[in-house]
Amino acid sequence: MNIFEEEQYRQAELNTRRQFLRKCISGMGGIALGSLMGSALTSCGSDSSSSGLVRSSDNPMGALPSHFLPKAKRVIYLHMAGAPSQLELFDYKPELQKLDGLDCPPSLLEGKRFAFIKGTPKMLGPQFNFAQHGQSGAWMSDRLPHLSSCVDDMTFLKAMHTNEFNHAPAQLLLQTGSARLGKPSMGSWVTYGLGSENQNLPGFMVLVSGGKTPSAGKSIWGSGFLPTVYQGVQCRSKGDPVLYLSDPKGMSKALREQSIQAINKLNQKQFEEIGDPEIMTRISQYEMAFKMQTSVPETMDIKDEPEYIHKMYGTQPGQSSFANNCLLARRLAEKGVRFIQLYHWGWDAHGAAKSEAINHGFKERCHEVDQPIAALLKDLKQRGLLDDTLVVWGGEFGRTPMRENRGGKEMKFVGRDHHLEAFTTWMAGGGIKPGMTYGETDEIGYYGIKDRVHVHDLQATILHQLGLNHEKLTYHFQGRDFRLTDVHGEVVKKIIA
Amino acid sequence: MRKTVYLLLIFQLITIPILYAQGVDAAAEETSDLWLFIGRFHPLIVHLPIGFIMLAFLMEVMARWPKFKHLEQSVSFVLTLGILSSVGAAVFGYLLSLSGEYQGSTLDWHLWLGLSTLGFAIIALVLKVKQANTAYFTFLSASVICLTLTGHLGGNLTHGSDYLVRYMPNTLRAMTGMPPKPESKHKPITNLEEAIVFDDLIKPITDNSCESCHNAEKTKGNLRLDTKEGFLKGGENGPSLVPGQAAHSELIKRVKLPKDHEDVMPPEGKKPLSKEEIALLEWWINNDASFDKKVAEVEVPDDIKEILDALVNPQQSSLSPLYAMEVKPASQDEVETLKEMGFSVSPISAESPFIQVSYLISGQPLNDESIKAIKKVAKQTTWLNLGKAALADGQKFTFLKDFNHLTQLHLEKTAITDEEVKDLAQMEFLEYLNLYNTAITDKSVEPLTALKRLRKIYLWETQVSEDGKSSLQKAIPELAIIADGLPQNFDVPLDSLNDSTVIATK
Repeated sequence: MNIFEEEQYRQAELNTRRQFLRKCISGMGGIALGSLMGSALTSCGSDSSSSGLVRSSDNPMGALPSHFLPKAKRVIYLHMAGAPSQLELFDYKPELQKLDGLDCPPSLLEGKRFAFIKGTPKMLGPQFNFAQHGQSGAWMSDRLPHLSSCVDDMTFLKAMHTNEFNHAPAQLLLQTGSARLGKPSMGSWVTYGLGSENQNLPGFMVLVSGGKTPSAGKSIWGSGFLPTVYQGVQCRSKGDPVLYLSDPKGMSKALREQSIQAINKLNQKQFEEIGDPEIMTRISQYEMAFKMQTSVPETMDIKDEPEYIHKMYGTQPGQSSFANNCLLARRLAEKGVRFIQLYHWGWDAHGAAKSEAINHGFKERCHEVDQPIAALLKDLKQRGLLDDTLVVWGGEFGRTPMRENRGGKEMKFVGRDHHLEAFTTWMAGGGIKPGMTYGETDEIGYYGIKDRVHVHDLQATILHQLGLNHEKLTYHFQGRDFRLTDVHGEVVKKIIA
Repeated sequence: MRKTVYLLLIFQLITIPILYAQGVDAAAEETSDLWLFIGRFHPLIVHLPIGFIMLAFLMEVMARWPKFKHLEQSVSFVLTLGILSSVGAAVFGYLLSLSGEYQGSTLDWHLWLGLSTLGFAIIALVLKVKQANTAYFTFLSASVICLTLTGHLGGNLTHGSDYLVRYMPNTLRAMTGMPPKPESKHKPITNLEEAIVFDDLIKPITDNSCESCHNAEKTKGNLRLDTKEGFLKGGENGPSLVPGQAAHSELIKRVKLPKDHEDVMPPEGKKPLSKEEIALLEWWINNDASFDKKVAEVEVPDDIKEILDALVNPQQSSLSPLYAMEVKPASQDEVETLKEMGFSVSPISAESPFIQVSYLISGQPLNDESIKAIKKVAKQTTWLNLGKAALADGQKFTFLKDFNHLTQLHLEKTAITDEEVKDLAQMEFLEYLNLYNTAITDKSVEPLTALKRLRKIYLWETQVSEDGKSSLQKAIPELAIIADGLPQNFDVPLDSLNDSTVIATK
């Protein structure tokens, strides 16, 4: 249809008797059907909550029961964007040290694709000293001195693996279950499945440090095809914690409340006519935004924390840092926020520049996160929150046991390339067996040889701890049921207490 | 005259296929396949006569009221339809029975009662035409009785003989003089070494997943898995197992097919076997599928050992006995009222009547009204979070007295006193108690020692002394007391952060 024809058609649509009658009939039919079904009929998605519960449309974040008895009530996910090297932190490979500087045998390279490695790279031994810690005797490098005092509360998954060796797709796969854009993130699935305990704060909050959004962009905490009320709300650590949180100049709180009520009344009318659930989302978002004007500042203001807490975390009020975000994570957990997602940045230690060299940038990253994470674990434990808060730490993939040789040449700095066959993720609290190491890689840390855990298995396990069956938590979209774990995922039963 | 012709026609319709089928029984497979194909329409048509004959009977009964007198005129029509569809059902049913998938006395009874239903219905129709009303009604009733019985037996053939009453409540059973519900058929294993591999480990799996279609009455594929002989004999696709070679055994091949495969066993729609169950079956067949060897007499690989251990000592259920108790669920109104007051309320899981209640709104003290509202759900509440909650003037925590079903209780950062802690002593199910940052002292230790199920208590930033903690620990040995406080000095000496790099930087 060319533009002229289209214009004619649009005219006709507005004016012909036939079109008028058709609209009348289909419109009436739609309304009748909608009221018969007693629910919002939409073409794009429907609620197929397996627990047979109907989410109340005017309170989409209300707390819902899980499929079975939960061990954890909330999750704090510490995502180290850029993928930290497991070989410099947890996965100690003395054998690799012996091969250091030798050419990589061709058998390891056959049929493999790397992001940057070309030709024959050299093997690279662990760059830092390792020691065993705690009752469990877990290995940890000297880059995490504070965290090594917490090993008996942690469980290491040493043979994690994924399907993607580039940051954005791998981050998406880890957080949304699919390497392509458009799927809901883990936090969205969890809040969709369980709602939230606190109706004055979003159920899914995101804190980003390092001044840079992860490679996958903000869709990594998006709600995909789930109602948008379940998307992550990002808080900033400087200025207003949430944009436009303060009342505009010259607008009083009472006036603001009245305007929001008026808008919501109009929206309610619209909803009654059309029945699009997104309108209900909009209404509840307006109400939530209004409540957040008081709840967010009081939660996000860490000034009232005692001095020794600041010392322990290494926090400075008003600054933007990973440490501040860890302290905020504890405060949000206390407030009953369901899913707290932290992103740290700058772990991509290729060695192409000083900032990404293992003995410069990487070292600084370790220093930035070590104390705050250890403080967070100890703090949660002391307050009785670690029992039902699941803490997960990890990157989107691992690093190679070979030294990166970008363009086939030896580089000025030391670094490692992306690697999807083996990396380490750890968990703590939330009904996971403490002080345990699960899975094992070969002697150079190249492949998982025992108890491998795929990122889908990790997702299934996280949902399981929250009392959700990852195969039952589904949403009907475009004619089929979708899950976070797609058609994969097995709960790692052996690490469950 | 014409009626006699009809009756003869019906008689021939019934007899010819039967005679024919018997004649070709030993003939070409193709033909018997055709009979089976037709026979499998039996379940499709069988509900028509049930409906028609029942309807005829009902119309006949209703017509006794003047208001429904007009129904009389239609009874013959409906009854004729019943007879015609009965004929179809009987023919198809007979053809289906030739397949040998169903056997035994239930089948015989089902056959004869079905034919009686048909016979009585025909007689009733003839008598109706002859206007012998009393006799007609007697035969119609007889037909209905036979119909009910044969229908029930048909159900038993399809679903198994205990299908209908398997889940009958014991109270009803007592009234009808039936024995109480059967407990699980299989005894839990106490001594693994002495357990018989087949009887104690394999049979429970096959009884659970295979036996309902492969038994004496319903023998799908001519295979019986309710007896040892059945396993060895196999079915129409040959032997079901090759002792010593699990990989070549039909049984294993079938259970390992993908969930949506046409030939998968148990068929689609039934619960597939778990990985562990398949592993056990393979292990049994690889050990010569012996029916009498004990576990001690066969080789037990590590992975099988793990599965067996899990079977014998099922995870010492760490779950509170409370969750198995029955309480009346909280009413919708009670829950709504609580939500309006700012409480978060939800069941602890989809199946449970117990609820979790939390109060996370700061700045709104609990007043008389809100306390009354939560007291209404005291029996259903098992996780209660009142951490940081303030009480309005004149209120006390004594309302917790009613909450004797709590397993988790958060009272951190509240104004609870030693006096009020005494009320917690009767919470016999309490497992988690958070009292950090409260003013309680050693006076609280004594009442807390009564909480024998307590596993975690948080006493950081309280006045409880070391002595108090140790006497609490003595009273409840399994209790973890978390009260150390946070490290006040969290600095790591800087020299430990010095470079330990192995490679010199360039």
